[in-house]
Amino acid sequence: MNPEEMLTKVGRVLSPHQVITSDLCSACEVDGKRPAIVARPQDAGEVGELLALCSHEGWGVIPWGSGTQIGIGNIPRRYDAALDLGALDEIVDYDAANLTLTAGAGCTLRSLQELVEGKRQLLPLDPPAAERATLGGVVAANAFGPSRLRYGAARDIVLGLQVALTSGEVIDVGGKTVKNVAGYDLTKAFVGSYGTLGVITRVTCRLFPMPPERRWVLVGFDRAGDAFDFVQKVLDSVLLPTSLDLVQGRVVPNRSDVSLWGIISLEGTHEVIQRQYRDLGTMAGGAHARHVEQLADEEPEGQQVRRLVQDMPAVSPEPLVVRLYVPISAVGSLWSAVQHLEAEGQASLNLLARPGLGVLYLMAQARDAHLSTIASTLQALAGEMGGHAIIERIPPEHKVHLDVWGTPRSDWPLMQALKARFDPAGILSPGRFIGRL
Amino acid sequence: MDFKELLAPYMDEMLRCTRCGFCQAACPTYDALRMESAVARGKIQLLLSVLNGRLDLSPKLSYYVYRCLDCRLCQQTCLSGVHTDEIFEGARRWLAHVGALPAPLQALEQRVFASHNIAGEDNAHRTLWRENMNLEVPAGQPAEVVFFIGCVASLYPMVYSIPQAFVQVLQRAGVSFSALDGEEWCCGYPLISAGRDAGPLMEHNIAAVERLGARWLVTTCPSCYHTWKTIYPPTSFQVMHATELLAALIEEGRIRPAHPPTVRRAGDAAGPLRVTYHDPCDLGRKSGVYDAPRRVITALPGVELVEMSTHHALATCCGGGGNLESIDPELSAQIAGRRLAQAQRAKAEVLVTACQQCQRTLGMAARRQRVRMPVMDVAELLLSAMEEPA
Amino acid sequence: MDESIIRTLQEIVGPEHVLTDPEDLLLYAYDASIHAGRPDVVVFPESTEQVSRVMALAHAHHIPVIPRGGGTNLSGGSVAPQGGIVLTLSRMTKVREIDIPNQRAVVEAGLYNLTLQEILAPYGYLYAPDPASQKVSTLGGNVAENAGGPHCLKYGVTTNHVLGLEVVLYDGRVVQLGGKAFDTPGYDLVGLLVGSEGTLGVVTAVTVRLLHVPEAIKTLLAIFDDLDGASQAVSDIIAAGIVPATLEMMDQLMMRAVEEATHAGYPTDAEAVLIIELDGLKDDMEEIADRIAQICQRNRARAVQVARTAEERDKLWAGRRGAFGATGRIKPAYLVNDGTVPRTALPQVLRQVREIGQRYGLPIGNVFHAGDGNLHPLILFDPREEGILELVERAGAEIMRICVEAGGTITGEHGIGLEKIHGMPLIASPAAIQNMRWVKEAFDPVGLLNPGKVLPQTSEGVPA
Repeated sequence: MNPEEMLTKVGRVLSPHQVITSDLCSACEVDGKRPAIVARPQDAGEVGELLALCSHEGWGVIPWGSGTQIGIGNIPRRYDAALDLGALDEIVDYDAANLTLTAGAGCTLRSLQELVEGKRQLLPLDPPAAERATLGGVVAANAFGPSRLRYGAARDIVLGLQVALTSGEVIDVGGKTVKNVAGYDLTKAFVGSYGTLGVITRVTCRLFPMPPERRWVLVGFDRAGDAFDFVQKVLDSVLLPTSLDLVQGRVVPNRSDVSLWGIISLEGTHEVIQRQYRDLGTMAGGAHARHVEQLADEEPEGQQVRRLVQDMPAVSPEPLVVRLYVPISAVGSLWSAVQHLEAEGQASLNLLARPGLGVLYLMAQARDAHLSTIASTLQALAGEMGGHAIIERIPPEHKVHLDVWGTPRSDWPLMQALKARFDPAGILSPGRFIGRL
Repeated sequence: MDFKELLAPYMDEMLRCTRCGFCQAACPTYDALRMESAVARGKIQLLLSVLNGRLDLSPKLSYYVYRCLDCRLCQQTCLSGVHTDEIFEGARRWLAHVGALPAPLQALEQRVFASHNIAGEDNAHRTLWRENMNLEVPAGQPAEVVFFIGCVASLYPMVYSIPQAFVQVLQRAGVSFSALDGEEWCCGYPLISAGRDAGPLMEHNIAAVERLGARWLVTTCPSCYHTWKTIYPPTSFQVMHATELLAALIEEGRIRPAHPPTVRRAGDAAGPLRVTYHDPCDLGRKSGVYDAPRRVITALPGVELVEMSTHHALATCCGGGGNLESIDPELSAQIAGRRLAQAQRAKAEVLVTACQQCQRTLGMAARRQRVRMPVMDVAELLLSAMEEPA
Repeated sequence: MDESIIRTLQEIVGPEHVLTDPEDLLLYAYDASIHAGRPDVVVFPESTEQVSRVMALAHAHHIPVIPRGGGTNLSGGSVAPQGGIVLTLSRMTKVREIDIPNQRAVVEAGLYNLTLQEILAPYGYLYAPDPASQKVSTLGGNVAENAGGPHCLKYGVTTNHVLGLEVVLYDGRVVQLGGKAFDTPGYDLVGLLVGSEGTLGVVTAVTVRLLHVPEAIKTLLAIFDDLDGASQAVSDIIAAGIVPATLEMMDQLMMRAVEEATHAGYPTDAEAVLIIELDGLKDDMEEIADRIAQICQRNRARAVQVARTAEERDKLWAGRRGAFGATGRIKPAYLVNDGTVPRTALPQVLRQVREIGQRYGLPIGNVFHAGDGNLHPLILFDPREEGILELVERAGAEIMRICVEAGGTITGEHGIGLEKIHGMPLIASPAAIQNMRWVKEAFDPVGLLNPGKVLPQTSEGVPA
């Protein structure tokens, strides 16, 4: 697409300073593809107008927050314009008494969390790279972090959305009440749709009271089997951990030399935390744990642990990052099943498990030629165990023959039908979603 | 003429039903059929439609009204307190009046009118239950207590054992009693519950008892008890259920259970005998007698009374209630099977009841399902725990 | 309906499971709402395969299909205003799998919610959504309505606890949406199906998430002499950072009906009560209960009682769950609103509701999920009174409007059904409704499933 011609047409919607062209567009590359322009609309109306224009012209458009999740997806079939939503950063309605917050999609999660923490409230979304991630991006990707165990994911926390459609119209879906069954639950259609049905311009979230105290518990194990026995015991107990992750021993600095660490966060009053700490200690002892300790969340070491479990999938340098999902009791077998990759010398692995969620992140360093084979093997393995795998990161050339979402299932024709109606011209992140929708 | 005016008085009561559907959870018939026609909400809507002129009288409508255990669990659990008993009784009167009784009930009615018992046998055969016993049972003699045996226990061999046990206990306790033999007529309940009057039967029975100068009428049949107690006009004598008399005799020390009941137990059974008690609808929910049978059971040595998941006022019907067995025997059997399953889940070794009809339906269910759980009457259990007479 | 279609239906589900007599059709023309609509035939499939064959037949002959569970719908969602096939799932009650290690259960749509709870109890697990109708409402129905319940304040509604669905589509195809694992790739079709009121597909089986039974439970009854104090206390409890498991309110009119029905121990001379339940770990429960009691007292509570035994607690809940049904003791019929508002708006909205009742001369009882701001004003009436229905519907529409004006919505858990279809434009713009229509078209392009519900007709009068 000729950038000059595009600029002229976009100029009818946006003022010149809202549009970037040429080399500066490299910041918005996706899978090696660079858009002709980057547009920065000021409000939802402008987003709608731009989408209508793209629809009319058949331009492929990819909505951008800060790009923390943008790598997830297939290679765009067509990519003419990037839609930078950073200017939609208005706090629309912070209703502290009702524990709701409505804010523009371009607000960073961090800024919103600082805002509500001022009133001792919590916006409990802790996806990787939360420092930079935008609210809209997190919601579009249904991104989550360790505390999904207690609070749920974006899917559970989002109450309503404002969405710009490819028709140019801007609609509100959902509302600001937790219970709402007026018509179809369209928020669910947009949350986790990775910008392929419409562009989220505003989000209403549910907030929670800030717990009086938060602590991290570290439990070290020599054997994976022991660690997963411990995890199963915790999950089958009355305890209410906020998060429960397992990582390999070497990733936790300045600690004894163990093979795996269980990292658990606890919230609540002091008594409730200490009681749970005691119970965890007993369970850990029963599972031959080598080391049990607690850290206050606000201490530097507590913050380090928080960042470790939260950010690992984003900050790890490996070229292959896969998020595998299985039924929760299968995470232990999955953990051992993937070890063969390392044992056979195919790859060196970094693992992060969230057993309560049935999630395992696998970060692999391997010979480039092997990456897509490893990825397909993992997708097949997760499938056999009753789950699935999403290839979060892999060099683009491997995506040519690989659907990063896995093989479409019997529900795919329905997704196709939805996509066809919401985006008839096929301009929103074209080709990026499952089955290259 | 459709005589809808017979239904009209129940309009207000029917309108109290808010159609919340909670009766689905209570109704044993619905539980088995899972169709709206089985449940009180549905029947009430049908009757309202008749009153509103949206539905005509039909054999199917009549069938639905009569396909009911009359167990009153719907009424017991109805949040709006709808008196389903009055509504359905009114509906049955209406249906009987317009000649819409289902065929099995017409036949039953004929038998009772003709022979004065539900079996259609010569009424002189009411002595069958005791004819193979080596016991003198006084009959037609003046006595303080008249034992009203009821049609089923008199004429259906499967439950002869109930009156047989009961009279043995009475004799060992030294109670002076008399039976009526052929002068006992059907109490009238089958007619009444079909929507008919039973005036002549009632008059005959009252006169027969009064002739013997009795102060008490005792019966092992909860339906006879309920009918005598609540539907008959006031009488010069008192009516009591067998279990009330047995409980009183134990408490007065006139009966001394000597040892644990002699019933067959599984080879590995240990500890006290686990006995569960099934509340007959006519005795419990409809007449309020819950404790007397339990007092008898708990007075026996080596017995532990365990309750099923539903009991007392919420006890599930055995499937033998109302006219269901005449209308749809298979459905009745299915419901009995579910009640028996409750007893199994309670890990009972013996299922005890105080009604010949419950004992028949539950006993047949046990046989059909090959469940080795004895089903017996309170009197039988008690007798088995008494010393053999010297 | 064509004889040959009936015959084919009989071949599919067995002759005894196809009903066509006028008596039977009448029995499936109503639900727990004030709406009615008579089907042409009622069928009772017992397997997904049978449901699939019925749908394929309906599709071939273009016959509407209305899925139905326990018939406890409160918005007319399970009646058949355009005739067609009522597809009753009451025979599909199999528990396919109780998978405790994975904290999941897979059950068929016709299973009662409470039956599932009873099955789970021995394992020490529960399924969180607990609609008041749980003893007779089915899991399939709960999914269709995105049912809530008292404990949803803390645990979320059905959509937060359903991970997978087996669905029969309009043409008989069977698809599996989601599963035991989270986040099946692609659009969140489970999320769309939940709350779609049987208009997108027939749910035949549900995979649900199970939660461990909490270690401790404490149930408080806070008694108030004025409604304002009670509703302010609700706001204050949440504002204090406390999220109880339940925070229910019942007013005097409802308490009187409930007491007569259940003898649960509600104070019928008080203006309102709050039923506040705490659950979780025992360690700080006493302290939280004390804080709640203080907040209630600051709002002029007459007393705050604690249920001392499980039996006392069960009785309070039996009364609460039976409240709608008990209104028959006051008036023969009711229209229940289901508007949801931000909690801080409760005192004002409740005053407005009372004012509407006075203006129309209609008694209105309130028993509702106050912690969620989910009102249930019950407008009580006798349908035999001339012109009363119109009055009731007008009062109901006004209540919907004030809820929307207060920043809320017209239904929190009972659904749009037939009853609130005219209220849809209050909360959804034409473009948003068009969006919903796209969803409908994607799932049911010919409009066979539960037609005439949820979506208002288009301006051209074309059925949605």
